[in-house]
Amino acid sequence: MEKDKFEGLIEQGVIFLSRFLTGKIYLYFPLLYSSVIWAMRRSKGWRERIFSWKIWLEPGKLESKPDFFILDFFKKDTSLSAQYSKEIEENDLRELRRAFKFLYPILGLEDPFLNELFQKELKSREYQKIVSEFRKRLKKVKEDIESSGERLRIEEGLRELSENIASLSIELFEENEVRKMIEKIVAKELKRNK
Amino acid sequence: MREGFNLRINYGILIIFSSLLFFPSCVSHLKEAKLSYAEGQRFSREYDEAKAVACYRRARKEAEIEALKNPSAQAYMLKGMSELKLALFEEAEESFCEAFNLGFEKGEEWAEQVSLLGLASSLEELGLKEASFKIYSFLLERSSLIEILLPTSQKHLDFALREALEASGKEREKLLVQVLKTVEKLKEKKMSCGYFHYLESQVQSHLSDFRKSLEEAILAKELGLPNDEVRRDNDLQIVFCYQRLKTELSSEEWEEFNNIYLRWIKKWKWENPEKPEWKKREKE
Repeated sequence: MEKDKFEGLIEQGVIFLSRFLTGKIYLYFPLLYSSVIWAMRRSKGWRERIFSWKIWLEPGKLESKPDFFILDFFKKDTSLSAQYSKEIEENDLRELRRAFKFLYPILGLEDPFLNELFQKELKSREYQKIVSEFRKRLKKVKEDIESSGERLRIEEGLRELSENIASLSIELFEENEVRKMIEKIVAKELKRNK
Repeated sequence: MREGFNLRINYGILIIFSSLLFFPSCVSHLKEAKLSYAEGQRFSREYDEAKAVACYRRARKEAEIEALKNPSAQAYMLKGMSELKLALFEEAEESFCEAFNLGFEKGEEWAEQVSLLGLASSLEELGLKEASFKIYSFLLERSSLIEILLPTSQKHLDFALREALEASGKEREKLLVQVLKTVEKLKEKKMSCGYFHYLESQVQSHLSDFRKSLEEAILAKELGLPNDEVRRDNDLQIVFCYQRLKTELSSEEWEEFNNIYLRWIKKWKWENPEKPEWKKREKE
């Protein structure tokens, strides 16, 4: 029952996005998936926390990793080590560090938004393509959302979707299961548009 | 000023205040900007970049309106912070300078320090690395606000570590020891701060002391870290140290260490010693 409701909400989400992001189906998956993940980890009380009205900058992770951390990252994954065999063999840390900057958030930290954005390349294991297209693709996402001219309405729509999803007992689902359900619905939309 | 807003006010006033919050026309642009900025940070913490960007855009717009209507250091500070998040570094620098020109009111020490930190970040992005490093060092030395010390220490250490990595041999080691001393001083300021232990874990790893690095990473995890990105990075540091120690320790040492390690991962509900609970991707 909850599954049907969930699928219904995702379908509505796809219809909603298709109204504002016509032809930009590649954006549906990351936007819907990250909205669902947010709903699943619903965090409460954040509004109360900002009542003090003091606003801060947040710390992030340290970017500078030791050489052997970088080397291990490439060596311990068969596909990755095959694609970067020359750099590993030549101990080309300059090039490995450059690639690490883009690949670590996706393959290491598993950033959900980036993972969905590069889903195709991840499936086909085209890691070098991810590195070469990373900046361009991320810039395009920001531009596409902005250029739709409906940014605020998209945000509101996704927020509404997240809230509706949060009202279901969705935490009972596995993240992989959720992923497959969204994938199926977006694929259906893709087929319908062809 | 609402900075000193006290949560202990009576319930009735809280309801009136809360309801005002949800009617944008009744809320000042400065508050609307702060609300949007905080919302953006929340989405960033949850890896929801598209929504975070939308919030920072809104925060910037509201702060801009406020700065035009009632110019104040805080309005420009917020405008600059939103621009920083949107990678508009030149605009951010201008906004922070404008904030300093207007001057901060008494009790706005936090806003002044945030602006200084923001200015250093934009200068760094615009290529003025040395100048930004000096500001980070100044803040690290002078500030007593933990919210300032956290992002400042990250920026300062990243810079110092990059310098160390560019050197080699004894010079690299000397620079790394200096970085370690900085972290130790930070820990003295607040021993219970998980983020400082995370920083020490990272530095110890640069010094190839994987046992200490692991201990600090475990402490950081137990004390708590500020967001998902840092938490996951810290988990991967634990896995990395575990793998390193596996090859470094003698069989007796390993057995003893592994027994303790297995107890930790059981507590954290990890699938196996090398797979944190959030990790979905299988290595090929």
